[in-house]
Formats: sequence, structure tokens, C-alpha cells
Amino acid sequence: MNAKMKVLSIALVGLCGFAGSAMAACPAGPTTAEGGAWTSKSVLPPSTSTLAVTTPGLDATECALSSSLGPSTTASAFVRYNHAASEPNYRFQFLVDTTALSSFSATDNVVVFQAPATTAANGFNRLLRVSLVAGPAGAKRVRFIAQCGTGTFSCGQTFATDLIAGVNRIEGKLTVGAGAAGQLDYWVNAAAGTTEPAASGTIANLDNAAWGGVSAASLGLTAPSAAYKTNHPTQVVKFDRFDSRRQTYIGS
Amino acid sequence: MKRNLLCGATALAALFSMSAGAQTCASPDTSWHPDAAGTPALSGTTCGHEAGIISVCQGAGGAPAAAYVAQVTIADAPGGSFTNIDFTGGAGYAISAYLVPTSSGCNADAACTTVGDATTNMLHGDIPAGSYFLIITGADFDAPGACGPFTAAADGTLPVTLQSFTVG
Repeated sequence: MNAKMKVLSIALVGLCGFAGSAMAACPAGPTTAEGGAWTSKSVLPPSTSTLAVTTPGLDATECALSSSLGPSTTASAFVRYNHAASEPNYRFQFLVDTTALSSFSATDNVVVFQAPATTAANGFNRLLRVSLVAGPAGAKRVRFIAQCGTGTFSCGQTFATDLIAGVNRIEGKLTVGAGAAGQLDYWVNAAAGTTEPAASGTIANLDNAAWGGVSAASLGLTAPSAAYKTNHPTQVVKFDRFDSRRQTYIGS
Repeated sequence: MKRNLLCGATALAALFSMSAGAQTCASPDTSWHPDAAGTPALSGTTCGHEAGIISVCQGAGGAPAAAYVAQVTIADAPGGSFTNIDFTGGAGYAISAYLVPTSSGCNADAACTTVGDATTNMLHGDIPAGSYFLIITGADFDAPGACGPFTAAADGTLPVTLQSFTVG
């Protein structure tokens, strides 16, 4: 899994990946102890879920992160990077390839990215989840579930365009703040370039200051619905090129 | 004659279970008690009942604000003999079903115990014993207000809450 550093970045929050050199071999595993860049990993149950560094990568890179879940609603296979500080302004981007997932039924869904929070509030210890959900006729879409300060404290929005076959690029800008200062902007398969385009979607007025800021990033599969557990056991989803920043649009 | 009419009415009710009135979070359908053969199925429409559910399972999916709500009691196997509940939806929407513990609330976007849809059965093995709201609605990708007919068919009995009777 290769992390692409952007020289225009004002402040790099976290850079999580593997050696990007064309000559470099992939590390044995995703964590620092295994030669990777991530703080830790979770693979549950270890007998049926898998998390591995595989070749090739998704962006002419050498390595990708391959994740699959066993047939359990408590299964997980993800990596986590603990940020050094609480981040109230958080941008992230990753590539995801769902080619190996069979068609989605209406209630299939699984989390692919999480932003744990510095402070637990209103029963949630996270600020954001990004999930794969169903589109019409077996298609897959991406849904953003931001914690918010009113109602049921979960404010979700599905990008109403199906994911493309192959590699998809997902980017987000989460701002933590009181009232209207709290907001999520997201981009799904935005046009190539590093100039920030209009967002694919926005969840406004999050009022999410109670959660403090983003404390970590988790990339990989977790929290499958019962339908996903039944319909997609051991099917692999691939990830690559995770990047996170405070200010600057990442793009490509 | 009167007895025959009553028997006939009972048989009809057993073949097709659908309670009159709106089946909402405030007034869910509590009549579904299929026997060992799974009879009756629960049939109805998601149109014209609960209009307040727009998000399910802690935001994991959206819903079109048109739902039929039932309340069921489920025992551990073999107390409840069913192994799965099969869902069939009609035109106009993509049937999606969510099972939420009664204690969590019906329209509280609470964590779901399990789910089902047109191609995915709800499995007894995913459901701990307890009382649940069965929320039958449309899919995340359905347009607001999308709704239509449905049938939920168990392949065995869901237990009936035992009542105490006094014979005088």
C-alpha cells in the first residue's frame, strides 16, 4: 500500500502506507512491527477474517491492503493509525477496489473507514464512518455517517451514484465544531487534479464539538450487516494510498 | 352454523395475517404468530403506516419514510422452531427489513440485531431471545415515500407469549 505525499500539504496529519519505491518489496504486514506504517491491526475472528499486504497496488503502486471478513457480524479486518494530536480539521483520502465483492442486496453494508474521536459523546466514540452500501440492481455505493449533536446523533448521507468497477477514490474533509461549524464535505471519484473541486456532497450543521477531534484513522472492513455477513464471507476488498491532512485538498 | 362461520373466519385469518389500522411504532402489529408450518405469513403494505423512519441501524442505511412495523417475540431455538424469515416485496420499492430490540426503541435509529431483504433471509441464529420491532420498509436507494406490498414468511413457529387463564 503506497502513500502519496503531497508537497502542497500545509500540515500532514498522518501518512500511512508502505514503501512506495518501485524497487521496494512489500512489508510482511501492515503494522510498524511488520515493516508497515500503521500503529495496529484488528483481525477478528482470526480463523476466518484476513488482512494482508498484497501485490500489486491499486495506483500503479507495488502493494495494497487486502481485507476480508469471516461469516460473523462481529468480524473485522482493519488497520489503525493513532494520530499524535486531536485533529479538529481532518482531511482523508483512500482508494478502494470492490471488484471481488459480489452484487449487493438491499441491506448489505460494511464499514471501510472510521475516524475515532478524542472524546466519546452521546454513546459514540467516533466522529465518522464511511460504508459500502447497496445501490439499485446489485450496485454498490458509498455512505458517510457523521456523528452529530442532535436527534439520534448519527447523520448519514449516501452518495447517489454507483461506485465504478475497479478502483474508486474517496476523499473527505471533516470539520469539528459547534453548530454550523461542524461539517463534512466529501468527494467520490472527483476529477483528477489537486485543485479542490465542488464537493460531491455535504452534511452540514453537524454540531460535533462534543467529540473533540479525530484521534485516529481506521482503514479496512468492520461492522458488517447480517446480510453482508451472509452474502460476502471471505470476499476481498482492496485498499491503497491512504493520506490525511489538516488543510489542503488531496486530489490526485 | 355460527360455529362454522367462526371456524371459517379463523381459517382465513390463519391464511392471511394482516391487522387493520396503521401499524406504526406507536401501534405496531402484534398479531403475527406463525405455527410450526410457518402459517400464517405476515402480509401487508409499507404504504400508509409508519412515516417517521428515515434512518436505520445507527445511520448504516437510509429509509424512505414508509414502513410497516410489527412487534415479535423470539425465543432461542428450539423454543422458536423457525430457522429463517423470507421477505418478498412488490413493485415500487426494494424491500428491506430490520429487527431492533424493543428496549432500544422503534424510531430511534438504534443498532439493528439483524436485517433481511428480497434475497437475504433473516436467520434465527442471528437473533438472541427477546422482544423486537420488525421494521419492514424500503432500501437506502429508494426515493422518499417509496412503498409497496410485502410478505414475510417464517419456516416455522415464532413463539406466542404464554397467557395465564383461570377456569372458574
